[in-house]
Amino acid sequence: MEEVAREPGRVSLRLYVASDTAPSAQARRQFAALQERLGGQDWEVEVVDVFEQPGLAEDDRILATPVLIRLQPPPRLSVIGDFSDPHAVATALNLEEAPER
Amino acid sequence: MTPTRMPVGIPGFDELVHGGLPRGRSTLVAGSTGTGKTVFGLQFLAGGARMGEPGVLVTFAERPDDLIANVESFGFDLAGLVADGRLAIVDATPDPGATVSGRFDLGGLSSRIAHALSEVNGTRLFLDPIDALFEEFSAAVEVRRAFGAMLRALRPLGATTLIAAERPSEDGTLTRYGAEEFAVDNVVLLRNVRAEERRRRTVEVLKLRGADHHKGEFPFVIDALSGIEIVPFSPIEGDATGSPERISLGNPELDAMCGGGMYRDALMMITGATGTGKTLIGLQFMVAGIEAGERVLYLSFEESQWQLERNAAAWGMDLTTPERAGRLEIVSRYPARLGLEDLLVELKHTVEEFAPERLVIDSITAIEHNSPSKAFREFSVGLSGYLKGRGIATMMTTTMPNLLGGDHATDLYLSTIADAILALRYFDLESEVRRAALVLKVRGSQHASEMHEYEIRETGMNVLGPIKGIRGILVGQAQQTGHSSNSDAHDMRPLE
Repeated sequence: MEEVAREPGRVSLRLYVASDTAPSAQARRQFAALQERLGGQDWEVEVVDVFEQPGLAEDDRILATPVLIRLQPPPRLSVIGDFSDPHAVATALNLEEAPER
Repeated sequence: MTPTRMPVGIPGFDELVHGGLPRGRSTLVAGSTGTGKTVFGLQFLAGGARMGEPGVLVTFAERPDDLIANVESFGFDLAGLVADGRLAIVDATPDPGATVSGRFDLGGLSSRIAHALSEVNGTRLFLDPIDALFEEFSAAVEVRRAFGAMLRALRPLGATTLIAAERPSEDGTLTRYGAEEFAVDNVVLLRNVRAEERRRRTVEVLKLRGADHHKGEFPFVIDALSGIEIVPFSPIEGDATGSPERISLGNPELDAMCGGGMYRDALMMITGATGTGKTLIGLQFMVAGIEAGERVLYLSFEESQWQLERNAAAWGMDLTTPERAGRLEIVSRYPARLGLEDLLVELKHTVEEFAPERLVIDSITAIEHNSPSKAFREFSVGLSGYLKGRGIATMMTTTMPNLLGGDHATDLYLSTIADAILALRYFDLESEVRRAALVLKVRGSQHASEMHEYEIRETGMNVLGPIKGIRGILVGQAQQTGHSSNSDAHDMRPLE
């Protein structure tokens, strides 16, 4: 496997949650698991609570939460709601799945 | 506990809801495509901004720049309002790169709206139109639930909220995605239907929780410059006492027949067949106004301005000088091309701009043609109520379809709203056609009760005096009196 180009093709992900609503709390847990499953890759990852940083939500034009956005590389892709299936998330965000084992 | 009202800022609408929409509540504005939901909401925001109540616009279908450009002609100046902090726009248009999987809420949108409201100190919120949200997330049940939760979460912020939602057709369900099931307090329905070859826009308040409102559909227009205006079809009470001042009709004999001219705030109807001199009487009335130092508005619905000026010149009247001096305004229109609602609103605007003391409408019959009779009655009542409320001396002509007398439904109807009526008639006796005028009514005054013969000369209208010995002129069956009725019956030709 070739080394993933660091700049500017580095993967940047941002998870937006809405405080501790049920779907958002679940998303935080699922996201941690997801990072492990797809892990080993050099991603830039950030978790943002829309009620704490509404300005950022405005900049990213967030409607639904929870939402996981691939900010880099373009195009912008996102998954809304449920992140329990790593493969589905990787497909939706067009991410390379790390070779397992 | 009755909430206080928030004036919406749409002319005529606040009257329908007795002062405005309940503060802090949400109102669904439903209507099919092109009924004016967006204009309604933007006017609510722009009106608020003018009254010191900033607002937030959430746009679901159009990008803010496109929306601002599309409504630029209305003069809401959204860009200016944004620039000076009286309006914030939340771009809630769909994100093409999103995949939906599982449960979600609208926390992102909710936080952005709350943020925007606090940024501008907003008290008004307009969500336009929420259908795009349903189309983006496809799971309608889920969106409905999330949307309802968002409205509940925003409620403590106290913003008076309008929610636009699409109606699939004019007679189907209220909204496509069941938006009425949300926790909305009030429902306003906008319609745009074809009625007798005309588009007719109406607004109806279906529900106003815990508050009184006018029932039924009210016509409105969307003016290209000012936006929505509810047409004032219900009569407006004028000054009940009336003005005792008399003004001249521009013809001493006619003035005398009316008991000394017409009242300053009266509406006078001139009814007669074509060629009886209605326009001439209107022009004389106009000249008398200008000579008295008044401003006169002349609405010519049958002749172009050029034709009117030429006819006036033939009577030795100069229209150009008072026009240039800003004392006379002639508006020539072909009203069949306009809906009655548009016409009434346009008339109102012209009257408000020019502020005339006298108004001539020549002829109202041209408006009646091609109009549904109910709409025309509403128009007449609305117009006369408006003019009386402003105390404008109005002369209105109606054209009778028959040359020689007979009834005319318009006249029967309009006669109830007219304060004074002058009937002009042709009559023929011994193969000679002559003209007769009769004052049928002058509200609150004595007037001549005899038919007067008149002629139209180069100098204008010349009243010859009362007609003796002839009866039946008014109904088109003139006959000499004083003969045996039998022989008369044989002489009488059936008249058209």
